[in-house]
Amino acid sequence: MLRLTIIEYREIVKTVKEFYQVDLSNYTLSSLKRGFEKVISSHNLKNAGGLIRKISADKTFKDTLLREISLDDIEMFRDPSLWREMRDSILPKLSKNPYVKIWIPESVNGEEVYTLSIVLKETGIYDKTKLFVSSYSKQNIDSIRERVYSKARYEINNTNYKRYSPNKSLADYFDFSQNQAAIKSELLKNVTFLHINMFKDTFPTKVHLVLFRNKLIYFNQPLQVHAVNVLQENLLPGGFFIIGTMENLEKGLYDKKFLTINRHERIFKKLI
Amino acid sequence: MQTDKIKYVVIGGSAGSFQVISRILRSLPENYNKSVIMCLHRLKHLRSGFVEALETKSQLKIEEPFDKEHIKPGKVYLAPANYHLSIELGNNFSLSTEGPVNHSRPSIDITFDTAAYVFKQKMVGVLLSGANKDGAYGIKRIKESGGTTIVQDPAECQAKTMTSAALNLTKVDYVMSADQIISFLLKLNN
Repeated sequence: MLRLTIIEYREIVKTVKEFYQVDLSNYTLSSLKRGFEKVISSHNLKNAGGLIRKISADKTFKDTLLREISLDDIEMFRDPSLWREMRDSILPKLSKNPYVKIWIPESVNGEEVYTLSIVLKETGIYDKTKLFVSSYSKQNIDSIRERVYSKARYEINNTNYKRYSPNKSLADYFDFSQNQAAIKSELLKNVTFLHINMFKDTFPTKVHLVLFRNKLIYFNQPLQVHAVNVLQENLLPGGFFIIGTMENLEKGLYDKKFLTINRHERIFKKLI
Repeated sequence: MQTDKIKYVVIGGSAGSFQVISRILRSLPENYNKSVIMCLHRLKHLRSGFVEALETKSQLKIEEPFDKEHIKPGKVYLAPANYHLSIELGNNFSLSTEGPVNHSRPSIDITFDTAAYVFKQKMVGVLLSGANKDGAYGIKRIKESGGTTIVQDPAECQAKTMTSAALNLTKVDYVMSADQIISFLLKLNN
């Protein structure tokens, strides 16, 4: 199995910046390194030199590379207790607004999008919600739109769903064919997809809730701070910010910007 | 073997390893001065309970590290549920939600591989009982990077698949019983 040296790794990061104008230098080394190693192997590029030559020669490879270096792979209804908290506390609070705007940035797969859409349906506020889903890779957006799972994967999702809502089934939200399960298209009705880089491009509106779970883990601390600042600016005063259960907002740095609403589920509220 | 350089004890285990882990933790004194990092297969949907279960008889506090937390001597860490645990250059942990490796998240191979990359000869990797082959490749990486490798004797493992897979892949430094592993780890503290 190929293992990149630190010098090769840095050379690849440099090449991506030079040819694709994407700065990966503050991404978490171990996971990005595994991402590069996986791309080298799946595209039969043999070694670091092969990947560097591919990046330098092929502009169209950019979107594929950005999709494939992100290995993030979660199930629907990961952390059922967070989703119960959303259903029972956070979304009812938001429902007092005449409309609700929510942003899921850096979306790789559709799991958080589908899960949130289902919880919005179940709390009866789907119809007044506008859900923005952004990704730096067009291919990520296409796969979220496609909304298809294998049956095995569906079962894993359904097991999680039952931990969230023991007496109901996820089947109500899927259409089934012989080997596949597809999310019903009506669940994506109020979703606006944006092909943007959250660090460079302007997001078009301010929102009531940003769902950013398990994204900070792929960044080093300077980029974590930058990301939280960008997202904080796009939140309305009093808006909610949710991160992964083992992620932290740096103490001191954010005390003036956020109030902790639920420590266990990592739910924060933007101060005015 | 230069065991005097060892500062990090990295332990992997799965089915049948709980009792051995408990015994190891019970034996380590309060003033143990190495960093102990454990990657154990566990139920993905139970975020709490495992640390408490391991802590009942341990003199040392056990922590599930947060993302980018700095690794300190004299601490015992446990990979949290449903995340991979990696070691970063600069001696920080990182967590990731990459897909399961060897059907496991956390995966022992990922923790061992990244530990080998960063700690090199300053670590000992210990692989215990388990029913799949996760950790076998990781042991190979630790050996190749100059670390010390210990595999629990398959003859006394409740599930032998994991340790046998490691021994088939790599000529490890020691095959030891649980008792021998404990005395090895205690000697490091002298």
